This record gives sequence, C-alpha cells and structure tokens, in this order.
Amino acid sequence: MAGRINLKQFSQSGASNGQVPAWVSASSTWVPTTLSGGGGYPSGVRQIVVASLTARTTTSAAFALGTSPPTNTQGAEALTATITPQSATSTLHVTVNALVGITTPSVSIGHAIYRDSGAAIGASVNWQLTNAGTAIVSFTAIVSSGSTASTIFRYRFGVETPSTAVLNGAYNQYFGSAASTRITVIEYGA
Amino acid sequence: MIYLPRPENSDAESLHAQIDALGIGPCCIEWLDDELGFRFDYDLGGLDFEALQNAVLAHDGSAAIAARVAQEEAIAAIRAAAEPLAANARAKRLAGEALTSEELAALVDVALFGT
Repeated sequence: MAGRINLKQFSQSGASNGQVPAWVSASSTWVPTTLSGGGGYPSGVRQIVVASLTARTTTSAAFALGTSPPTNTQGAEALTATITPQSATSTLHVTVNALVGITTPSVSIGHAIYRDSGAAIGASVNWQLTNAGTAIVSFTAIVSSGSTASTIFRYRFGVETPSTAVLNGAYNQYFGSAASTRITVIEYGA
Repeated sequence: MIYLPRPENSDAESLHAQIDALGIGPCCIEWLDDELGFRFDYDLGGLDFEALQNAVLAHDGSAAIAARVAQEEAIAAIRAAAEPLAANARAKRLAGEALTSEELAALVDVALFGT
C-alpha cells in the first residue's frame, strides 16, 4: 500500500515541471515520474502553434461539395500554420475555428484543411446559409507528425455556387479583431 | 500577400467578379482600413500583377453598395410587415383555427427573410 505523500519532500526531490508522483513499493517512496502514455493516450502537450486572421476576408473561389476528400485546389487559401514537430512520433491535432458569412442567400460554404501539398485531412461545410447570414465553423484533423521536418497546415474555403464567402463577418466585419479565424496545431507527445 | 490601396467605394462581390474576369484567381482578399491584401495560390507575374493593380484602381463598388442598401431596406420592410401577421398566425394555429391567405403569405416571408 502506498504511503502518504509529503508534498514538501516531493517538491524538494528534484521533480521537474510536468512530472507527477509515482509510488515505488521497493523503496517505499514517491518518485517524480514523467507520464509515459499508458492506455494509448497522449502523455502531454509538446507545443501549440496558433495562426490567426482578424481582418474581414473574402473569396469567390469555387468549392465543390462531393463525396471525395476535397482536392487542394478547392476554394482559396486564407490562412496557414507552420509547425516543426519535436518528435517524429507525435500526434498533431489541427483545429480550424472561424466565423463565416455569405453575401447572398442560400449558398453553401466549403472548408478544408490540408497538410503541405496533400489532399484534405479535414473538412466541413456550412450548408445553404440564408439571408446573407453567418455561422460558426469548427473542425479538427488528427494526424501523426511523421517526422521532425517543418510542416504547413493550410486552411482553404470557398463557395459551392457563385457568391462571396466572408471570414470574420458577412457584408460587414463583426466585433473588430475579436472575431478571428484561427488554426490551432497542438503537438502531443507519444 | 500583395497589398494595394483600398478604393474609396469598395465592394467585395464586384471586386471579386472583376478579378475572376481576369482569370488570375482563386484569391482571398483581406479588407483592411486603408489597404486590400490579396492572397493567391501562386506568385503573380508582372502582367498579372499589373492587371490586378489596374482592376483595383478602376474598381468602383458604389453601385453594388447602393443596391445592397436598397435590398436590405426592402427586406427590413417585408419583415416589419410580416411579423405581426406571423405572430397572429402562430396563435391561431395553436388555437386550431385556419389561417387566411395574408397570414400564409406572411409566414412565407418570415421563412424567406427571417424575423
């Protein structure tokens, strides 16, 4: 049975930031330990990269809605985030958040996130926005880092039928720079 | 990213249409206070850049802006006229009563233009 932990002793035992106490029966002591990802879950965040776009941004680029992953020529590129993974075995969670709008009614807006020059790794759609309205889009792609080479995540958006899609507003910008479009890349250690 | 001075009366839809007509898209435009930022998938060559610059210089979105204002005013008027009838229609249906053609038309307006 584990003994009671003495936090003062533990804090003086050489524990570094992020470590947790683990009971060692053989020595009957609490030992600073770095979580190793037991159960298959990521053990910790290695780094977070955020790219933001605060200006009202528009495009009339076509974005076809189909049953296949969007190709990297769909829509227009609005924002990129570059990350250099700390490990080749990390997991990267790539999330796009945006306030989107349309300047004409009943038009669908397609969104996708791409890695470097590849096909889409994540996608979403705002189906037939009405009355030149706005909507929230948020979607995540989860990929392996694969290497420690720098990699670029690209967010593209566009319209299914001729119109003009808008980030951070509709006809007018909303809430100044408080309403922003973001790509957030979180690298988890394995 | 290419930054050019923002024309005084600039309109997103009509400017995108001008750029699309040049065949140099797709692009995104960032609407800054005094400038427009253009992001293309490739570096524009000299002729394409010149065409973009000329299109922005020649851009006058005042007609599109006026048309949008007129449309928004028309929608506001339709909403204002429809909402009392739509509210009455909801109450009547809850009471099991039939609706008049005017109330049905108001419900269609609410569906088309919101409340």
